[in-house]
Amino acid sequence: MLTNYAFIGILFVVALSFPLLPLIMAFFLRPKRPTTIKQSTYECGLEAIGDVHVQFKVQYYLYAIAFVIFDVEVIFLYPWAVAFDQVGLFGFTAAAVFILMLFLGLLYEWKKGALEWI
Amino acid sequence: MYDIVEIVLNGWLGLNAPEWLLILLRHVLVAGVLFGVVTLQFFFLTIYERRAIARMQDRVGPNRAGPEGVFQTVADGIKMFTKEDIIPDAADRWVHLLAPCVVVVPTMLMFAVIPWGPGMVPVDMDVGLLFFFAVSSIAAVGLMMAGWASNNKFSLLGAMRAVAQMVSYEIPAVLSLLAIVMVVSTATGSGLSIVSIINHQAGLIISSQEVSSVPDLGLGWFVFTPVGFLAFICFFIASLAEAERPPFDIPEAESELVAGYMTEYSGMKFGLFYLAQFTLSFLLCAMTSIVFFGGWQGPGVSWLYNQGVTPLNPDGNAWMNVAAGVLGAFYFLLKTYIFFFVMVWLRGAFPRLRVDQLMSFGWKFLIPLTLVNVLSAAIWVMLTRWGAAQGAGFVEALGPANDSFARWGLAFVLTLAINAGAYYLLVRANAAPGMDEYVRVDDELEAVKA
Repeated sequence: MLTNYAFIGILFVVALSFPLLPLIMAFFLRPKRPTTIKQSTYECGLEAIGDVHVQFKVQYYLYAIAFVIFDVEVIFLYPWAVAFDQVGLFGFTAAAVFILMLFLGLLYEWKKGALEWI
Repeated sequence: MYDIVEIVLNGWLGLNAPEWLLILLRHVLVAGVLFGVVTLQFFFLTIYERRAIARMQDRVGPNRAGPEGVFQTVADGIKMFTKEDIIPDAADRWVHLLAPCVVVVPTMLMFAVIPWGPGMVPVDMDVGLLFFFAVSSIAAVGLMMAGWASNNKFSLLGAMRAVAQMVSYEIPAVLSLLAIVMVVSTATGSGLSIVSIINHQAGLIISSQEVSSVPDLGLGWFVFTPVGFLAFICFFIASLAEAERPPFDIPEAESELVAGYMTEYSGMKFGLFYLAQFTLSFLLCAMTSIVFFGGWQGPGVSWLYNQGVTPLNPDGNAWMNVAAGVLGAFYFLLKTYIFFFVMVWLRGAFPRLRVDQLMSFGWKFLIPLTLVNVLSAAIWVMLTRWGAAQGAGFVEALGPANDSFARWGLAFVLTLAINAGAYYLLVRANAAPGMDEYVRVDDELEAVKA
């Protein structure tokens, strides 16, 4: 069992070399001729105006909050699914109520327009 | 096969190496072979996609480098290596460099749990499925880093869209697999292990009675049950969005955002993003074929495997194990490439969605549908497997239907009805106002023609 995770660790080290080796090789192979125009921010040929870090649509954050709720829900449901035979009818009822409540929450969000991209 | 390290070190070189060194070297060897295969896959998949999409768009595609253009990817690679790395002055240099690495490394780590054939499994973790998805979601951090560090409006907007899309479609992907995990874990006790998901699909199982006379033709694949079919459709669509494949390639919509989060990247860093995207597409196709289409299962694999060395048959022919592994890997790759072709096909067939359509499709259609599918799976398991142990009076309540085939049929019809009903209701709930009128106009046109 432990060697499984050891393999993951070794794979991680080898995987690190996967992007790093080409980058290091490219570092020695590629030309380096920077100019001011070349290093300027790309903006379809125009000069970039204003700051990049502007205000963003609130919808991104609403989706992020909804994601957190549903992701936690999924994590709660996985143990239930694995132990479905053991928890029996009581476990099924409890999980069904849990899913129903989240479903109602999703429905509420939907009707409130939190899922609309205005 | 697996002890090749021991043979070389202790036998040929006579080193008498300690056990931990042997284990370490074996792991390094497997990891190295795995990454060699991944690189070859990438070379093949890029040229395959470019030629296939060219045919669909009535072009020839790249056919100059080597016979039929097979070395096109090599030529592209040489170009990537020798192209100047342009980092904008406004960019955050270190995060700009780190972002492609953060995207590539988790994609490579996901290969740890992908089984290629019987006996050809890098790691059979008991939480393999969870590991796969946990690692896959790290890539979103890398995309955000790329967009933020580039200090470019296109990049930042593309990264915001990419992250919103990836997190939104992760939920239906994981939820659709939850249904399968439930069915497998009630049967085998370890539904999160990818190998046990494959083994469960080996034969046709009707209400815990295995119908052993069924030939090895895939009747036990999950795609042939109502729960598995809906989960397959939802998972495949969600994985298109996860891998940012067209028609869900909104983060890099070239007509709106130039190249999204990759706008300020050039040279090898751009190549790494490209590599990660193709590898992720391959992995998600592989996952589809493993979970819903039996992975390495195919005619002849289990026969060959039973001839070889197994726990039941310790003095079998070891070469038969190798043959079973190779044949299994062949079936697995065949299925995976068919799904990859479907991905390319969808790219040729559909126009890109709008960003609001993408989000509402995920949240208002796929997530409710997969939630209903989880309940369907619960009903399926209850009807096909449950006895007196799970709920007192459960068997009595079934009455005359308490026969394994009748219970299986009942479960099939009931889950099919629930899933079809949920699909219909969700289509109605998501219908654009006036959709019925369009349908009527179409009918009138047909009537005029006729």
